[in-house]
Amino acid sequence: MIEIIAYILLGIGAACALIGAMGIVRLPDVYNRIHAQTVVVVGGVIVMLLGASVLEGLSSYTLKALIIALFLFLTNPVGSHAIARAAHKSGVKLWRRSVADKLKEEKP
Amino acid sequence: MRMAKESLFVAFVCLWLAWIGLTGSLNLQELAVGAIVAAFVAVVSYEFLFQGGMREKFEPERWGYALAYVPAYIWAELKAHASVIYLILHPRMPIKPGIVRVPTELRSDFGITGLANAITMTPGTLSVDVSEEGSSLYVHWIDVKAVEPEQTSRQIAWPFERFLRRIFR
Repeated sequence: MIEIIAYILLGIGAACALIGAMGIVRLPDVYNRIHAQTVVVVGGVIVMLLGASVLEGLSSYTLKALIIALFLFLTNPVGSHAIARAAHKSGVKLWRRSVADKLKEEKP
Repeated sequence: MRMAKESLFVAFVCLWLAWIGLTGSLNLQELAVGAIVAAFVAVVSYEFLFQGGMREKFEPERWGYALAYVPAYIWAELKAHASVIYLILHPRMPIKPGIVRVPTELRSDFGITGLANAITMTPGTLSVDVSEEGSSLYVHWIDVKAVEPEQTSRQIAWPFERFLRRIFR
């Protein structure tokens, strides 16, 4: 039973990583690609780490996997935000069919 | 002065626990090296970690809201993943990206950080900048449904802000 749950989690993680990678290729600009990257990290890596810890049971490897998941959880949004902010500050344009850019209008 | 010592100690203990967890051994040498590294990093960085001081009253209500936040957060995360995966896999990719302003009522540093991180961690919304007075976030939204501040704050921020404003005051 526990193995089945673990393999389901690992499968979901692998599928999310694949779909996120497709998103990085398909989506048009930096900002949209960061959304796909979030799918890879949260749905892919963190879910896979949870699956691995379920499969392993209580051991030091589980502890390591959970600590790595926690640090990814804390650092990934900071990195995404920094990339997006730097891109906007240095003038990377939004995709031509974007519908709004309030940041440029209100805080030039 | 007392507060500085306290936050130094808390930073040291957290770092040392992380070290012990990552090495995964209770060997005396590992512990000693970990203590040295943790002490060094704690001395360098404790000032930046707890600026407001952390000795606050223990309020069970806040911890209750923090616990209730976990399932709500996971649910928001699942919904956001489903919608972004749908957008990626759809043959014509019906995205409507744009940057919108999301006003927030949170004022504490921890609250705004928590909200911005939660928004960034859910796929489909990405916080790009904070307004000077910290009263609103600029969020890149992959599927803009509204640009009016009331609507954006209800759709993007409310699921998290509902809990965060009670947890961080």
